[in-house]
Amino acid sequence: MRKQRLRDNIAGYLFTGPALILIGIFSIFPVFFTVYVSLFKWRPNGPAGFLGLGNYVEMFGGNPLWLLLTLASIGGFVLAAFLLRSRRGAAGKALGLAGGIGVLAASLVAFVVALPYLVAQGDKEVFDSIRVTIWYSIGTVPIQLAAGMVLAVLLNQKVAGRQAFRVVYLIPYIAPAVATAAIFELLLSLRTDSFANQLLGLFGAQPLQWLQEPRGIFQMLSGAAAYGPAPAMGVIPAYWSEWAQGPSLAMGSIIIYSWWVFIGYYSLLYLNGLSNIPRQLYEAAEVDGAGKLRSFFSITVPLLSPTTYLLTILGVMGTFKAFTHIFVLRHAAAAGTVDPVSVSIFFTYFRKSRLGYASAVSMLLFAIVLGLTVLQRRTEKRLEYGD
Amino acid sequence: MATRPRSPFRWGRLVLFAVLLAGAGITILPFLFMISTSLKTLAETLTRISPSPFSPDFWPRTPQWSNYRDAWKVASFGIFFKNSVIIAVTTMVETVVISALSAYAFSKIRFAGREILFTILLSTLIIPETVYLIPNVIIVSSFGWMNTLAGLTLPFVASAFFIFLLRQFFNQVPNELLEVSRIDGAGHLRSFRSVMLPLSKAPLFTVAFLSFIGSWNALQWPLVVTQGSKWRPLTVGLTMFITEAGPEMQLRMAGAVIAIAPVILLYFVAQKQFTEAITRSGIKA
Amino acid sequence: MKRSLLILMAFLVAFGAFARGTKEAAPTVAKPAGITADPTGATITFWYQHAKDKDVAMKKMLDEFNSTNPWKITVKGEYAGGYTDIYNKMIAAIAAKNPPDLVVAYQNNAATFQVSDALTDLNPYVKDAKYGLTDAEYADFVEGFINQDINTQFGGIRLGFPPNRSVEVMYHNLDWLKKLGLGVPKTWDEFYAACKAATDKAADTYGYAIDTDASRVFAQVISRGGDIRKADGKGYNFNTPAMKDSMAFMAKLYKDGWGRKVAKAYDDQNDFGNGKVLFTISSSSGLTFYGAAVKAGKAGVFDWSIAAPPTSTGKPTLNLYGASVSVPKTTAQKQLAAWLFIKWFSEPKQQAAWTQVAAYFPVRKSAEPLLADYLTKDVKFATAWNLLKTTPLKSEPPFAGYDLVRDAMSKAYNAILDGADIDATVAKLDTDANKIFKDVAP
Repeated sequence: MRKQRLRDNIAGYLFTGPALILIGIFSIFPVFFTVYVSLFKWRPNGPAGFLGLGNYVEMFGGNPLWLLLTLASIGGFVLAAFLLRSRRGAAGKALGLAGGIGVLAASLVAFVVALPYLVAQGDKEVFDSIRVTIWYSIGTVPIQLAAGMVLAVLLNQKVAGRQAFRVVYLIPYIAPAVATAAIFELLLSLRTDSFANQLLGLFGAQPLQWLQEPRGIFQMLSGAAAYGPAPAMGVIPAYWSEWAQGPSLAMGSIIIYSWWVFIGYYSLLYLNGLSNIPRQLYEAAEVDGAGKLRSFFSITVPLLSPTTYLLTILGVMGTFKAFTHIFVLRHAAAAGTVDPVSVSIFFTYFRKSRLGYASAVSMLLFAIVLGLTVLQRRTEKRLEYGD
Repeated sequence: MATRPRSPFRWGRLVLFAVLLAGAGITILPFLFMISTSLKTLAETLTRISPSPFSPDFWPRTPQWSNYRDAWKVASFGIFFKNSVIIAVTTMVETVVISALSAYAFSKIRFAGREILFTILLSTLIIPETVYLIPNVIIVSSFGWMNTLAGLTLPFVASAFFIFLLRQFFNQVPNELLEVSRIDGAGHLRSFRSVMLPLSKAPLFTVAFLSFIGSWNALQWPLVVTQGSKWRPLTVGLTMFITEAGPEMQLRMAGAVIAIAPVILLYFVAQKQFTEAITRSGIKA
Repeated sequence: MKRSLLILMAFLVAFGAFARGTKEAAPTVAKPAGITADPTGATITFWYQHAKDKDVAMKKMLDEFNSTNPWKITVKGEYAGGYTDIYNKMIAAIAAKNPPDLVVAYQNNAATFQVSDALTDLNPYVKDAKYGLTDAEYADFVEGFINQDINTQFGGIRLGFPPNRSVEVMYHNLDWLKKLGLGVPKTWDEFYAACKAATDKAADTYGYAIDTDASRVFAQVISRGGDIRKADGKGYNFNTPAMKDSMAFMAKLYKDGWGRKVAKAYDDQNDFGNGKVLFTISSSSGLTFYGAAVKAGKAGVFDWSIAAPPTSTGKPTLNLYGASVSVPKTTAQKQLAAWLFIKWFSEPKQQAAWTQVAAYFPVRKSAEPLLADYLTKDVKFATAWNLLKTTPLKSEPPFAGYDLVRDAMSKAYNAILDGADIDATVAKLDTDANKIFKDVAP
């Protein structure tokens, strides 16, 4: 038995050795290295002074109160969610409800107040880039998943040229961004004869500036025409009004490009999930008289939920790491509104050559993605179909 | 089983076909534009512009196939193409071997520290690219791997994502099948080779294909790591070519088509096995 | 659990030590005081951005240098991408401690490299008794070219050397102007009137293709006698009448419809070639491309030329730019070898040869007689060259981090065109630019 154990251990380490060494060197070491560098003022040629938490202070501002309050409010949201879910008896339920609502309200107030002050005293550029990333995430993940699912269902039917269709829809994903972005630059240019503007013309609308439009979409829809810096306001309304403007039209154009690229990719992943659903379920539903739409919502969607949750995690993580597909369509006119965290870090690294500070921001990005992943795994455990 | 009348069925299929065709048209339109522009003369790219494939201005008057020859020559695409193939194939082979062996171990071999190592592995999925760009440059350079095949491939062949994927599949293969070969006295390697591999053609194919595509399309890393055209891959060459070609739109587009075409061709060829592979590999949560 | 924690700690310590270890080896710093290095037999690498024909021409010149120079120096040149690619690669190369021996870089990029103390000061080489330039040779450089690389942010050291230069000029359609009964505009008011006359909604023509690149902003500011630098050179100053007037002028032009924004690169050139726009303001290095665009364009071949952009001070000032070549700190031998190559390249004979291929301006006045044929043949280039010799030149600030300020300038310009309040936008630009200046300071 002992001998077997030894053989197992040796085999195990031999088999995984190469992978572990390579990942250790090229993925894990960089994380530790980045943590280390973030504690210094670091130029490309090496460290230029130990700063301790100096970079983080620059990022979050001098007063730790606001950071702590923001983190506490986020913790409060999690706690509230937990409390609202407890179902231990009637008394427990009522307590859970009351406690949950109370904590939720308090956290909400804290969040609304603390975050603007945190941003005001910290590095606005970093927080703006986080907001851009969140808009990108919201704008791409739900639609790409939903459209991907629908497309997968359509591609799963018996229809002529099915194989050809599946290939065609994947091509935007396979093609390098550098090439496909060049075309979208043309399609979404501000010229009156661009494809997008001609389309608008069909509906009698005015041409738009698309990839060069820095104004927010909600702001534009509400008719506000403001360009340039916003008029002076209190800290709290100033910050939340920026959220109210929505993503810029330039960002929206990039999001449209992203749909075109990724919907086919998601449909392919959903096709896999679909193949695991037994045909008998659909046939049984047919016998019971259910229409195609009904089958879709009562059979397909629920049984695809494991795939959906996996793709949501991967999708959101992907948007936080996304770089190329956004950078290739960046135009200076919209600078700041099309720069997610990855681009902001890239600029800090290369154009400002502030490696220490860039590392600190990378750590923040890492922490956010980690937090989201943990959050998603917790909710997945609770909501996965069949639990 | 209830039988349905045939006419409504046919209508449904027709509508479905039309919808898919329209969608495919939208998806393909940018590529059509790319191809039609690449076949125009410089004058045509300036004067005959139209976003709609139904207007004659969209298409060249006479296709200028020479644009492709020009782009290929001017940009030394021959070398870049060869480099991309070598890099992508090397990456693919190394990835499949390393990922398969690791996944097998994580799935079927009980060794000390297995669970913890796997968790650490998974955590690397969260790391954004920018975090490891410069550290990796420093590491690769200190190993003397700048502008070498090793520097272009090794940082990527161990991917937690593929190991995770394969492990999921391997987990579904019943242990009894392996027990059989173990009773016969085979070591882990034998079991892996004779039992697991034949069963795993589909997921291995998936990993091979995805890693090939990933390597073929990589831009940022090769841009920094290659110096000169010795190892420069197609993507880097294409980016440089797009800047070089400047206002000559038809050459830019020709270059872009040259960069995209091999991948699409490869996908056409491999597509059947690919979708089968996806269908049978079961990427579950 | 405990064991794996220990393993993790070991990882951390080991890699931490490794990290510190890689920082220990500092590059050998050359001692240029009275250059004593021996350049014989050195081999150096040169990264440049010249592509296609220029790449071929450069390689030919490298061959010539390699086979004729008395020290048997070999220069290995390679096309390393566009300016941005080379810049990014250089930053990575500095971090990895293996930079090339000679690299093309804009002055502000060189400054960013120098924040990492990565470049050699070329002053000692320029002034060296044995290997440097004589007073006569120094004076032979076109006024303003040779001093562009002296950087006040770093105490006046010379971070690069000019291999060639270009200026910003106003491309104009002469036939069209004649048709409108107008002369070439010399003031901004004349420019405005010409743009207005050229705009015809029915024929879809307009006056000026508004390119919002930062260099255009700078060209306008200097044409009004201003600058974007602080007087003491310690930052930017955008809150000037010159800046605000420039912005106001363009905003009005745009609002009235006599100017249109440029959607993407080369759109202005294409519109010009198609006879859709009367004026563009762009680099003189685009001369041959404009020629091709006119030839291929919808409007047939028309008479066009270049001139200094309009001014409001009575005398035009030109925006001078062009990347220099910089010598990273490597070894004393290689640095000297690189300098010797640069010196050779800047000699009149080489400059004349290079000019004819690249359409950049030569940096030496005495190259002109060698270019006599070329100047007679290419009238437009000759016009530009004469312009250069007789017009005062100014160049953009060579500050580290200027790239990001350029982004901000472009963004502000766009916002103002769209109607943003000029004072508020310019004030914010000023604040943002100076923050960047501070952030990236050495």
